Amino acid sequence: MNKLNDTIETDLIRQAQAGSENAFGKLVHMYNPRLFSFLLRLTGDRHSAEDLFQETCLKVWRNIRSYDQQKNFATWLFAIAHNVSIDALRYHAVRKMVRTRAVLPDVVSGSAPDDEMIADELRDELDRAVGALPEKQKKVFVLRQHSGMSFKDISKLTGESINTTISHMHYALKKMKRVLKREHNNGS
Amino acid sequence: MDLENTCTTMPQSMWLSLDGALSGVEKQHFQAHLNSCESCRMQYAEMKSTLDALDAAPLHSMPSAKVDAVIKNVTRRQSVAGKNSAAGVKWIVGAALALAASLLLFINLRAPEVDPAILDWQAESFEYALSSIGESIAMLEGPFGSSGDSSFSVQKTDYLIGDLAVQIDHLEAGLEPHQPQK
Repeated sequence: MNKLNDTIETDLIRQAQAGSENAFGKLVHMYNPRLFSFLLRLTGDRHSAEDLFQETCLKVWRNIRSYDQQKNFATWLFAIAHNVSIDALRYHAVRKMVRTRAVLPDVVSGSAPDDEMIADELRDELDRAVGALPEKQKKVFVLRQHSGMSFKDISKLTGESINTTISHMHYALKKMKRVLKREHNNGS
Repeated sequence: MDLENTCTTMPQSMWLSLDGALSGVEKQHFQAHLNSCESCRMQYAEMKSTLDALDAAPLHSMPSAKVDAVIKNVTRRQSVAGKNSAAGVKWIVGAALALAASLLLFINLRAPEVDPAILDWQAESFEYALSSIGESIAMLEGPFGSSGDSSFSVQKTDYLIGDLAVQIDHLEAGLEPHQPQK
């Protein structure tokens, strides 16, 4: 993230901590692609990802006053998202949340231009590749890729050593490299 | 420094280098090895280009309208829940505990007639619901309760009461075929 975005983010966080729903909304929109991709790739299910997105936002809004601005906001936010997801997966709560999920409006998407279709293909291919990773590799990969967390922070969150965490990422990246190469060859 | 051994441990150092987590001396050793080892240099370059490609790959997004609905829902739930008094919260927790105790008694009395698979699933769900109620109570007694910000417990406990009621319904449905004939 560049310095301007950093400043904007810091201002939004400060306003949200003071109770601004508008600032909170802007923060959520700002993190939407990274957070939603993280949840979708971790769960492999769109409805579950939407539920967990809402649950994460609820916890962030409720606890934002306790967030320490000296620390990295993305690390704090994704730690919440990770814990929400793990709790849900552990207790099969995704199934329960689906039952009680708030009704969200559906958006009808129009036809995508060619370049968007190519981008979508790559994204879907990466989704499948991430989905095929062993659970521990997947968790480390999506945390690292979407939150930008350091290995030290990821290892604290997952309870594994830094070396093991790095190994998970290393093997996951090797598999992703194969996917990217294949896509590149298909495209050329 | 032994080159082969260093090549073996280089992947760890590469990732730590990308994290900016190498100390001054480690950074010097890392750079010295890269300068002298073409294989590791290429591996490091490939690693960085793969990460760049992944960073550039498109992400998923929730549609804007859905995000707006989530924001509205989240902030509305907080403000509505915040209006509930602490007394109300305690009443809800009490009611939830009474429901939980009833369900426990219900399971104990009728468990032998239940399909073990159903019972396992119900027990797991029940355990989750109970632990969550415990968490709500702990939060009421903790900093949230003392600061008057009891909205979380209100909302969550309210949800759990509904969930426990559903558990009872499911358990009853699962038990019906096993009722002894009169």
